[in-house]
Amino acid sequence: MADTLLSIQNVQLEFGTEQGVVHALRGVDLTIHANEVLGLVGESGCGKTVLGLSVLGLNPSPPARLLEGSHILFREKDIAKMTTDEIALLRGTGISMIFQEPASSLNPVFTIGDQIAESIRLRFQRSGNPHQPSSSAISDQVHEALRLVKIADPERVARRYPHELSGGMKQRAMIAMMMASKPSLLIADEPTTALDVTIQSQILRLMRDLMIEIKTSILFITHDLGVIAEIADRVAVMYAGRIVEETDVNSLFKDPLHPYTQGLLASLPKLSELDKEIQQLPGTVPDAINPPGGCSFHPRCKFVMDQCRTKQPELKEVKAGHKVACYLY
Amino acid sequence: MRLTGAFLLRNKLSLAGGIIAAAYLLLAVIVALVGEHMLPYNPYAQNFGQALLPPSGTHLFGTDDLGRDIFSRVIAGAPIDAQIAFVVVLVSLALGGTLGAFAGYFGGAIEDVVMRVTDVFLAFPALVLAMAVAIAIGPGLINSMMALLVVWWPWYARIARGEALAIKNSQYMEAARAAGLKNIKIVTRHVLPNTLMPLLVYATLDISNVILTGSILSFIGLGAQPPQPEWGRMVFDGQDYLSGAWWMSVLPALAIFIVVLAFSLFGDGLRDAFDPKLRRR
Amino acid sequence: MQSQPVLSVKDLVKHYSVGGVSFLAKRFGRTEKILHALDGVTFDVGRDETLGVVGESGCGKTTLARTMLLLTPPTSGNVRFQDKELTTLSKDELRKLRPRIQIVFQDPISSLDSRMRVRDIVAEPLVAAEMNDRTEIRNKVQAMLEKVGLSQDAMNRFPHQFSGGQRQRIGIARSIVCDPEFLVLDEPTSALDASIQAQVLNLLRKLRKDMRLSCVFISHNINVVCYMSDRIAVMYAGEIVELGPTMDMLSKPSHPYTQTLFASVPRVDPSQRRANAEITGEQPSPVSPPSGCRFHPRCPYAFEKCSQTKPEQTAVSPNHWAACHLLTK
Repeated sequence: MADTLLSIQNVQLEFGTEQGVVHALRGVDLTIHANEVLGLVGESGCGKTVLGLSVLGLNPSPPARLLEGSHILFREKDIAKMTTDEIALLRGTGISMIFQEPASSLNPVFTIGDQIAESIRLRFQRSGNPHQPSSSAISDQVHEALRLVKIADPERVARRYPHELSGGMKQRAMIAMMMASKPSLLIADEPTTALDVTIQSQILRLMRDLMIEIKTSILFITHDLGVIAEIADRVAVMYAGRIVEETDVNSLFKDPLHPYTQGLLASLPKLSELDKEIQQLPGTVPDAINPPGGCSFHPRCKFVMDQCRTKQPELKEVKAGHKVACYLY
Repeated sequence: MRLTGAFLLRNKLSLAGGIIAAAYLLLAVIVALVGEHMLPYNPYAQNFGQALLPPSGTHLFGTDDLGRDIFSRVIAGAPIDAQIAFVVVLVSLALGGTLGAFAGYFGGAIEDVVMRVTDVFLAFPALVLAMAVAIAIGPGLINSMMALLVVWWPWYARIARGEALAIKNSQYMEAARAAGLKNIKIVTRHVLPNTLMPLLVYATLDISNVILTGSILSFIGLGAQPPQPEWGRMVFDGQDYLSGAWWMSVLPALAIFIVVLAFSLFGDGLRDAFDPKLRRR
Repeated sequence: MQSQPVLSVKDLVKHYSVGGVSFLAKRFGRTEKILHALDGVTFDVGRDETLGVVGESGCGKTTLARTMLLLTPPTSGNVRFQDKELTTLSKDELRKLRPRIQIVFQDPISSLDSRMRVRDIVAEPLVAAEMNDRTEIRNKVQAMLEKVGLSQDAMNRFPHQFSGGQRQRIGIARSIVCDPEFLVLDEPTSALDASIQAQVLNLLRKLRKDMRLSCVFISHNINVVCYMSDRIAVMYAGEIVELGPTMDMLSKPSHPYTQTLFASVPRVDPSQRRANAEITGEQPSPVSPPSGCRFHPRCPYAFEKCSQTKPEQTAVSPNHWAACHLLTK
């Protein structure tokens, strides 16, 4: 039984907007273990990004509100109950996050080297270490971090500004920055979506290697099932603010249980099956302000039964290591 | 127009402004249509025996140096500034806005010429230029309106040109070209609606500026001429009596202030309501 | 090719000048830089055929969509549609031809004028073709809305009242209302969720079959392009490096870039995780593309000739060619 790193329990989060209250997360239960990549997959509006941000308390709060009974346990402390200062301590030491657009996380007026150095210095401060490392020691660590992400000429790249780097390089620099603090958990929100497919495969490979080397777990958030197949150990499928299926990656693709997962897989064009017409899922992505009652997927489900419309199914383990929230089981 | 009542209710100042502005406009329309018959006194009737009376039950705002009832004159004067402001703003929007939209969309020589011309006009402060034109063509209400027109259209041309530039290369414009639409049709179907509609919000805010500038022109004697009960002119007329019969100047000035403030507040609220939806292109 | 191709593009070139070199600087010999967006693209599209164009950022596929339709005037080259040479037509003649060659854009939000009602948006090509009869226009618009699966009450609504997938359907309705012979699809589903994408792709397949459309389908998503296309052109740095029937391309990719590209696509099957063909480097600069074969700096098989001479189109099998010196060794 692997060690539990992060335990998300019954997390409910809502946003007040002009149009009404958005129920972004409606009772999410998720566990991430040490040394694993957990893929969190879903389409736009399902709440996956909000969930990622919630772990680090990054949802702007107002208008976002975490409801009572939500727990996010990391190293025996509940992040949901922490103050902003306490969470700040966590960021960059225990948990790090990278985003889709590296440009928005990189400060355009500082060099890459300066920004990585800053995150290294912060780690020293937060670890309570009384000695500040010398600037040459930090410089060495910066170059080491860049080498870790397979950047060929770390000394030169460290002197560059973000706008001088390509998308792939910026993303590597981001990873370097985040990994410099050697976090136990890296939350990656669509880190390769904006990249070319050839660069994406490089970055995915890099992340897997780093994960093994530094012993970091990754919560990999994406809408791309292909990427999940490439990188994840376990997968959780999200729909309308809830987890609807959770299992190891092989079982998800070979034996998807939830009708949404099945529908999603069937709707993807696959290079191995180009002659078959893809099966489309009817209907649209649910409205986050007024989600359908009962099981949120019922309006689009071809197996819908009466109870699906009225009562929300629980996420239950129906096979070894395979959980699903569906009345079919 | 998706300006919801719910939004305005939330923005109470703006709503208050809107109500006052609407009341003012209603008053202006009624007076313009019905004429001065419904007023308590004839705004032009001079009565030296009743001169310079302070506000009272019989004369709500007092009387001026010629014995005319100021309240009636203030009411009678309501349509004057409103009419001028509307004409100036509408014509500036229509002509200046269209010119600017053409300049922005077609670019090239048209844009250069229009922009250089507006540059010249915009180099002067509006009031100074209006004064210069008014002095040149002579005093009078219609003349002051002309002067204001001359000064006002360049702003709309500028803004419209900017909007046109912004949307020139959007995908729906490409789609219109890809559909084979003639340029002139593209301008009428896409460019003008998308540039002039945002300008409407600016125009609403602008009405108060025109009212103010128009009153100032009258205040310095270049606009309305006696015996027209235009508010700015009334403030001018009462200058000599400020220490004694302050109501002659102060009350019309207060009327100007309230109306201008009302339009400003309402325009602010309008802009808040429309801008976020405008920017979401 | 048995019959004459519907569209024939020959040596299409599009250069942009960048750098804004001042008048004085030009006097001192500074020349303006040229961005080589397209550098000699040649292909045909036959009746009832869909040619897919795939490539990564900066390869020129977006420029190709615009230049091919002369929405942007080409720097040089020919575009022959049916029996008309588009580059020699007058502005008016070209305009009158447009209803026969249409385009579907990528962004469902900005490709529709948000101030216009759906019926006016869809009717636009009819207005352009100077159709005046309002009843006829209304009937045609109704027929199109039905064809793309939108309800009749959509006619009087505004774009913001629809979802992304529905907006794309409106865009498609607009492009087919004049019964075109040729359709360019520029990343038509890239902005849509996976489950909606499947709906739109299936709709496109049905429409092109019903209306006997010839298409060029441009996308960075290789799975989607292969699913939708009969033949595929792979673009790199403004040129086509390989072109052939889809199945052929997948089973026998001959250009090293094509091989890397296809190998980088994440498979929707975790058992197919492979050691990815590691590609080094980044996309070449379009302002100063590499000499000879533009791929040579990143090619694992490059030899001397590659940096000196541009490779010719070499046949791999009937209808399938690649531009690579390896094939003529």
